[in-house]
Amino acid sequence: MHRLCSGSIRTTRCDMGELTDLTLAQMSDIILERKISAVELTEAHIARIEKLDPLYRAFVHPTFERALQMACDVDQEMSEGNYRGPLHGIPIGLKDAFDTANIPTTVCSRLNAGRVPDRDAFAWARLRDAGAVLLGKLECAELCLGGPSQDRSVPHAVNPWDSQCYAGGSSSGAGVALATGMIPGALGSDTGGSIRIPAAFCGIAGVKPTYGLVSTSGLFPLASSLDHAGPMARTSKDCALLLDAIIAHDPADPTSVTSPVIEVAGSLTERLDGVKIGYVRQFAEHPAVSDEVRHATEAALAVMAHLGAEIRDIALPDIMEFTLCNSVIMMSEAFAIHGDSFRTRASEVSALTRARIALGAFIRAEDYIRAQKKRRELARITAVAMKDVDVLIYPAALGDPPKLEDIEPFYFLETPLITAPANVAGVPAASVRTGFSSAGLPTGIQITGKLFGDADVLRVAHAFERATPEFSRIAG
Amino acid sequence: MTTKAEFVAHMERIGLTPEDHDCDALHAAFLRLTELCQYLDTTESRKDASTLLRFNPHDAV
Repeated sequence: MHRLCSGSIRTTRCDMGELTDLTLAQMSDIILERKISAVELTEAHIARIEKLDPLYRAFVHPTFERALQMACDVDQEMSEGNYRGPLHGIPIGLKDAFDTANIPTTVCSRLNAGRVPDRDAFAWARLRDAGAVLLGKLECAELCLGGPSQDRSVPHAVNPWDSQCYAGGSSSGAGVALATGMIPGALGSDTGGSIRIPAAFCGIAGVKPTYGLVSTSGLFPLASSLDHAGPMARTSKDCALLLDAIIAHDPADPTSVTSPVIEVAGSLTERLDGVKIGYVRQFAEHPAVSDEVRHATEAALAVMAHLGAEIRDIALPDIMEFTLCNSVIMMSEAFAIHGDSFRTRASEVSALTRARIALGAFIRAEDYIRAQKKRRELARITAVAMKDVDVLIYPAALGDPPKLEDIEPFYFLETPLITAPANVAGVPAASVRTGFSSAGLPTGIQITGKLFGDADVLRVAHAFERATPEFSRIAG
Repeated sequence: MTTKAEFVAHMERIGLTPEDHDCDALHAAFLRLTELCQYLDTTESRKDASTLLRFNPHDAV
């Protein structure tokens, strides 16, 4: 028992192999059954972090003492018969863009050195109130827009499948910590793919919910008309449990929907009978998409058909139209946030982030407004295209994660950002693993739903994962 | 701003310090972005009042 604990806590460790290999849902079950205490579960994760994080650098602000105190409180509550739900006693991590009271939140930037918020972000407060235990803040791309620049103040998290490859961004630390079993759940943020790209490159699950479904209060902004907060975990079911906890109206967030009546985890099934899936073949067959990724996407569709889903082709506008629309809005809004800092302290920002945000200074107001109108048109076309299907399927990434030295600051001007359509349209989208390429690197698909169709997205994701357990592996 | 000199002069006018940036790469990206912005055209008329971006004053209170 931890020295901070004062209550009487009975724990009986069952024979379950490596605790940290369990899914969040499995951990939740054994906490509820009192087969393990929250303190034991927290200690197991701290031990794994202490062993692996020196290699993978996923944590920027560990909060172990605080976590152990929170776990003690959980055990005390449970010994008194108070159980808050499936996240009670579950250790998690937060991308370092979520405000945490009295814990540094710098978004991995020198511009925010010493920044310690006095309030918790709304989404984290929801998890905290559900009994989750915070293990620490996780590395991310500087200011949520950049990459693994060598001149960063915080070293980038290391892809556990190949240290020479990018772990994806911007929620890279979350992807790495989940893939290596250092945490079972996390919150990330997604403005153009920042949850789904690291999910794909690290072989885990990540969900960008419907715009406005999860409050972004206390999430450091990148581009507020595109920003989303969402869950990341090793399975879609775990994402669903996290998502259910963070869906709520927040009066402090003007984009927060007022009546969010969605229950996701209870909608999961193992069959897909009656589900209609649209395959966006043109995205999968784009010249920038690798043959391996396209084959993995089509193999996933075959599994879904076997589970009872009906598959048909769906056409959307050119992926570069979504990419450009997303990029113009994102860079314009990002510069509006950081312009003052860039006029006096740009040299303190790492190269990739500095280049991308600076480009926003040169986008004309006329083009920003055109991009917002284009966004409305693309969202309308997407909604019409999805009229007769429940979800869309297309790749989550173009191919294997790029080599670190190959990452260009302005790649999105030449190659598609295949995660952009869901941000532009505001619709929910998950990234789910589909196996491994010949290089041994994870591949993934996106499952994109209609507005407020988050439960449909996770239902398809869960059924696919249950049918393909061979793709679930922990790195490290 | 088709020339780099014009681009750098504009940078200075808006308060950015050219020495802080890779001006060649940034200028090239600007030119490419300008070229790509043709794809932002929509089927909506720019002058049709029904398609303009809206402001809801109730959101402000």
